[in-house]
Amino acid sequence: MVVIDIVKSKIKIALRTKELYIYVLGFPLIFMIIYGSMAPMYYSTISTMHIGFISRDLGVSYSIGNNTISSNYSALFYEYLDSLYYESQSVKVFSIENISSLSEAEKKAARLDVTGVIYLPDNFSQMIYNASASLTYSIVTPIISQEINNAYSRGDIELANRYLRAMQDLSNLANTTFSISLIIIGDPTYSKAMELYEAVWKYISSFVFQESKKFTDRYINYLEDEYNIAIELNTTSINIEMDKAFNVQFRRIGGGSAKETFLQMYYSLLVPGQIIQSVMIASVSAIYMVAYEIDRKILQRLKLTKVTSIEYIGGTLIAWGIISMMLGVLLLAIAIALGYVKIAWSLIDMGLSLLILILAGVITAAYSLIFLSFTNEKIAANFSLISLLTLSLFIAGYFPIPNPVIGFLLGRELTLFDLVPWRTAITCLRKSLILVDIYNPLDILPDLALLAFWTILYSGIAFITFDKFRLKRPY
Amino acid sequence: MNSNILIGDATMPKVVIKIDKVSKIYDNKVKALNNVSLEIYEKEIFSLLGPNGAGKTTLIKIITGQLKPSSGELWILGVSHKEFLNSSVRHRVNFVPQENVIWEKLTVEENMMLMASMYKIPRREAREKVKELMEEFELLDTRKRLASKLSGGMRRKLAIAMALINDPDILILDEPTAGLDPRMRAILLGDIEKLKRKGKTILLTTHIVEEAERLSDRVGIIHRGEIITVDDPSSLKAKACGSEVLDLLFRKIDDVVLEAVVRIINGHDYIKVGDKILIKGDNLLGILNELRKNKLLYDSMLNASIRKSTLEDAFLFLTGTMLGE
Ligand SMILES: Nc1ncnc2c1ncn2[C@@H]1O[C@H](COP(=O)(O)OP(=O)(O)O)[C@@H](O)[C@H]1O
Ligand SMILES: [Mg+2]
Repeated sequence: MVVIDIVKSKIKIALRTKELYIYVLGFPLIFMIIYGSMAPMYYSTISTMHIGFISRDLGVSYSIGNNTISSNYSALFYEYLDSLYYESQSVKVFSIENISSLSEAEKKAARLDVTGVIYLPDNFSQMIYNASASLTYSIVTPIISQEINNAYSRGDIELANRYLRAMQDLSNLANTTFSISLIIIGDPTYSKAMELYEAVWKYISSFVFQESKKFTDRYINYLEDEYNIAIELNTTSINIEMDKAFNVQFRRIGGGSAKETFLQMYYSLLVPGQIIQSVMIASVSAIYMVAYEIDRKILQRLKLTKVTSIEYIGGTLIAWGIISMMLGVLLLAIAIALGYVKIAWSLIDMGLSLLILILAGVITAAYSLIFLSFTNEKIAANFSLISLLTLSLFIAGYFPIPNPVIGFLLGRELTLFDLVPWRTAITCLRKSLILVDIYNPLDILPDLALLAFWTILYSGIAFITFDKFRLKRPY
Repeated sequence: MNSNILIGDATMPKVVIKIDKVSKIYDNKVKALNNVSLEIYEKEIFSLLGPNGAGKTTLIKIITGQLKPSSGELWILGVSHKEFLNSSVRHRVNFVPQENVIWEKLTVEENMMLMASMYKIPRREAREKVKELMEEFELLDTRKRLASKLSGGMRRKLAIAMALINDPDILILDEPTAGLDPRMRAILLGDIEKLKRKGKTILLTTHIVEEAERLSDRVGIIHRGEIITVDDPSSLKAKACGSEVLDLLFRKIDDVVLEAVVRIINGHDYIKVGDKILIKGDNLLGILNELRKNKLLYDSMLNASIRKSTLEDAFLFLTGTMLGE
């Protein structure tokens, strides 16, 4: 089969071309660094973050004296977040969407429908109560003991006893621990998600202190009424080890229960974008390879042979599909070796990922051939490299670039970026390679169908233009 | 189909390529070929001899279907140029352009095998054919070497060997020896002669006289897009300048010198190129003696000789210009 021989030869040629390695391995490395250093620039924007909110909070009941009080701190936290405005501006900090299930949360975060999702565990209210109690205990205890001393020294034994009884009452609050933990679910490669993460640290602590303050006031009121005493709150400073007291976890989408370092989270989601980006950049080599054949009159000579345009172009495209597959596997192996990715794939996931890589390679080669049909190889190579690089910056999802929904396809939202075939490939690859816990292979089908559609469209156009303008016969 | 093609009789050689009043004007209005008519016979080596820019490559491109003539007709193995690329006849023709048609990042053997595959030759048959060709062109030792690592001469050999993979009846070589050192050039000419003995028709272009003279059954002299004359080398020389020429080299040719020479040669055909004057015709010895008697001429003469004429001389008389490199 001549197509197979063409494919084999082109792969050999590609693998023997040093420049390919520079393009393919050098560029992604540089971009990793660039992205990494650029991310903080996006932290300072003042705009409303659309976030998701899931509460599994069971609420808390506690008693102060004979009163039993029920609190739902998650609802309070929701209201608190909802009422936040940027300083001196009428811009809300968050617009919050209630989400009911974890899988929905992950999907929304993966699609960047929401910046991230705040997940409150079932003991959230309990934790806030504990924190309030613990704070109150540590604030009020020294004040009361001071009052007891004062009463004794004045000889007012009866007052001292009342303070003593209040002190005993207060000891109900002892042995509570100050520990707040909650989870942010998001895409760590998306800088806005990290911004949310940092913001939540800030807001959860001020929320906890606000609620504690209320609790303390309430408790003091109760003690004053109950024991007919006066408690003067002074501004004692309390040492709380914030690092230990608050634990906001960031959980990357698709992370399942695996424990990952922050760097791992960041890079594992970057990997599909990096791989596709490499495939896009490698297209320059595809152009040079075909350009070489044009330059050396190989194409002219081939017209005398029995090889057909379909076989030649098909062979070229398939070769690039396979090259990009090998490339993807290589980059993935590097990512795994560096510890960026730790996932166990199913055979189907692996097969799908390879298929996606092949299609991405075919699309890229077709895109390049289309340019090469109309211009010389220098212009075509430069244009295709620059256009693909620019595109790759937009579509990889590193930056919060608006990506409006423009329609629906097979029950799946179709966004503006979906019109860029490589974005579809990245989306597919993320689902099959990284987000294997959220998506099952069936979920990938609509994306795969879209990718297949792009492949056919691009290959078709490449075939028509290349055949017409490059393999044209003079008659 | 033209009726006088391929209907050979005992005396008439079979015409495999017939070119009839072909002209080519490029888009930039360069007239590269002007009314070219030519017949290439079966199993001959035909050399198109002409300086750079004469139109040789243009003609090759038209014959091989890469270019459309602006006017005129041609037939290759009886098939009109209009149908050539769609006819199976194209598999019986092969060409090696000035650029070596090879994949530099493939080895010698891979290059040959890929080309065989392009002709859809079954693998086993292809392997045999490739081995045979590599032997013939002394490429066996380098079969595992990348084409990019070969010397210029070896690359050319590879390109030609690749063009023979389909066992074509007609092999067209555009400047096959250009850029090669003399040793490699001689080896390659030997290879081309071998091909002729195997019954191939070979059409080649060259701007090197010795090559055309040594190799060709017939030579076509092409100059500024026109075929000046076509014949076998010795007849061509005889027609253009006789079997011998008188070759005079002067220190400087001014009007006085030229006038004196013209007076003495008295109607013989001559041609002046730079500080050289070539004279053809009979009684060259007598003329030489007359010239030597002229004191002025004798003093300014650096060299004077009667020698066998070459194709270069013929070209000079036919076109008034040197072939040159
Ligand atoms: N593609 C082209 N466009 C315009 N002019 C050309 C082109 N190719 C060749 N020419 C011109 O046509 C003439 C013949 O060129 P060519 O056939 O290459 O000559 P040769 O092969 O004998 O050196 C030259 O004057 C050359 O400049
Ligand atoms: Mg030429």
